[in-house]
Amino acid sequence: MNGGAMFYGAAIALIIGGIMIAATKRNLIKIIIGLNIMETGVNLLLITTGYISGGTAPIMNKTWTKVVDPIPQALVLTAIVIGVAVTAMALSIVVRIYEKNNSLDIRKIKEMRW
Amino acid sequence: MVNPILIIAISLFGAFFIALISPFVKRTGKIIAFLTIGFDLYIGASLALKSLRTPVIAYTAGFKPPFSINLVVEPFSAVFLLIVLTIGFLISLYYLAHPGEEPEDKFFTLLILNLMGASGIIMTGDLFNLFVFFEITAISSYALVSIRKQKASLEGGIKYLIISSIGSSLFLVAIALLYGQTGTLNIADIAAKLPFINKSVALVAFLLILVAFFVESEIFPFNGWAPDAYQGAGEGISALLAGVISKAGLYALIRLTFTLLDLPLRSKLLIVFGIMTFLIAELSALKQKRVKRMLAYSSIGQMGLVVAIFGIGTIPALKAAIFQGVNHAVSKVALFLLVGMVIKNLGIYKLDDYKGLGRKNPLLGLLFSLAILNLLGFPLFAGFWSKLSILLSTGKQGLYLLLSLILTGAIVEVYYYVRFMKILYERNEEASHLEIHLLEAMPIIAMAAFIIIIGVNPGLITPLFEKASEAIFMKFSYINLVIGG
Repeated sequence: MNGGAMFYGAAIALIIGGIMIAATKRNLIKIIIGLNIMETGVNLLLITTGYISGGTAPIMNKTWTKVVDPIPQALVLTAIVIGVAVTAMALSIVVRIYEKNNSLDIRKIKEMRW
Repeated sequence: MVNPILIIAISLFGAFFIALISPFVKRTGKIIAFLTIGFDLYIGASLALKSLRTPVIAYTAGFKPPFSINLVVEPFSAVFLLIVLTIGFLISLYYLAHPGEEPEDKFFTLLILNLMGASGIIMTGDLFNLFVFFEITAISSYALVSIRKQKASLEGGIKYLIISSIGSSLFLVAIALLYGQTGTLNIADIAAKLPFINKSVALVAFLLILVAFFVESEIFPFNGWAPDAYQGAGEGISALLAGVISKAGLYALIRLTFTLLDLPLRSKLLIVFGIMTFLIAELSALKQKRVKRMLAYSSIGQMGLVVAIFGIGTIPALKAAIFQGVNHAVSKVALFLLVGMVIKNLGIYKLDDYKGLGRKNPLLGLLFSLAILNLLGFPLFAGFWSKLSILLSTGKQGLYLLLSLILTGAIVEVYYYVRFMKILYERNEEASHLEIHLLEAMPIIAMAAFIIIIGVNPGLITPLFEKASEAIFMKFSYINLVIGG
């Protein structure tokens, strides 16, 4: 199995696993962890699109032969920052929900109908 | 020359200026927000006017596309930019006389950022840039929805957050796939390279984009968040959801499925999901006991209708869809703001509590009826012309099943709105009197004036929609515009 297929497989597994966790778990914290796993999978996928086995950083000096594509890495950096912001937002809403309901279980939060 | 970047720069400046001075000078947020959004609207309107003659493109970093991020304002984006900024401006005008959500200064910072994100979505010509603006809009709307520390708003906020962040991750997957195939992120460049993209990759990316923006434009079955978010949010924010956030999502959906990935499958999927949303949402609205939730379902239904009409894809249909989108934005924002005034004064939420309010408060009743009749497409209102053009363009394509489903949904809609109007005008001696602040009512009066003027003379605005629908219909003109020159 070559490296590329392995990375793509791992990325897709992480994305699907994350969505499954977010969709099936009843605890809000676990749902947010699921979202984070999904985001990691997406970031891995982005990096993989620009990855070349044995490539180096794209710095143009005399010695380079193969370089990886720098754009996906820049994108992932942005995506990570956005992911952190979403997670922070989610956790701060969850804290408020816990204060109101004394529970993180979405079944116990009365008005929540999924 | 007016530069589209100004909208983004001024908004960022205004938003963080509020945060900067709020420790020293309290309660200036609403004034700064009003001025900032007013300035945005001025820039946006002059851009829109200019783009009708020659489309405006702004590059960054001194490179031409596809090597730089670019902002494009052509007729189709100009119409959406005008909707978003006008509605945003009217909402900020409303908040001048209406108490904002607490903490007020932070609320207005978020409001400005939200509008900046929405106008960014509409103007950008770069796929990843679109994702970033999309996230700015989304994150600020999660905060705006849940800023009221009540159970319902927190619930609406977290649901919206979970569903929408799954959607945006799927969008990012689509971006990764397309970048892997084409090596570019420029929308026009990818669109030009579409014939060389692997067919199955293109299909997967198309479906992912469809799901991601179905979430944002409230299309069934990805709209589970919408009723709760509308119900939980403050009334001004419900108006923002109906008039700005969902419209930006709709723009992205249409731009990406018409220009970026122009697959033949699009038409069927948009029509089927759109009309399903319309029927299910209208039927759900029928049994609601709370006014805001009823309006929320009606809003979802209207978005479904607009998406279905966009799906037909002929120029008259596109024109009808844009017109209906504008009418929905105007009517629904007016309704939510009116409900906000009622809740501020009387604190009532149930449909039955509105008994006799319209009879006791003639101005309130008049504005309510105007907005409702416009939404229903009553003759001599702007909504009549858009509903008529929807029916004509559907009939012309021979889509009689779709036509009959639209009529069924519209009848349900008429039924519950007329029931609401009947409640408003019922005889009730105990109905309370409302203090209506004129400044607060100004945005609604402006929208009512728009409804009547366009209703009497639709020719004032239809040339604009004509140009917009031609612009989105011919994707090669967009590609030539951005990378051809």
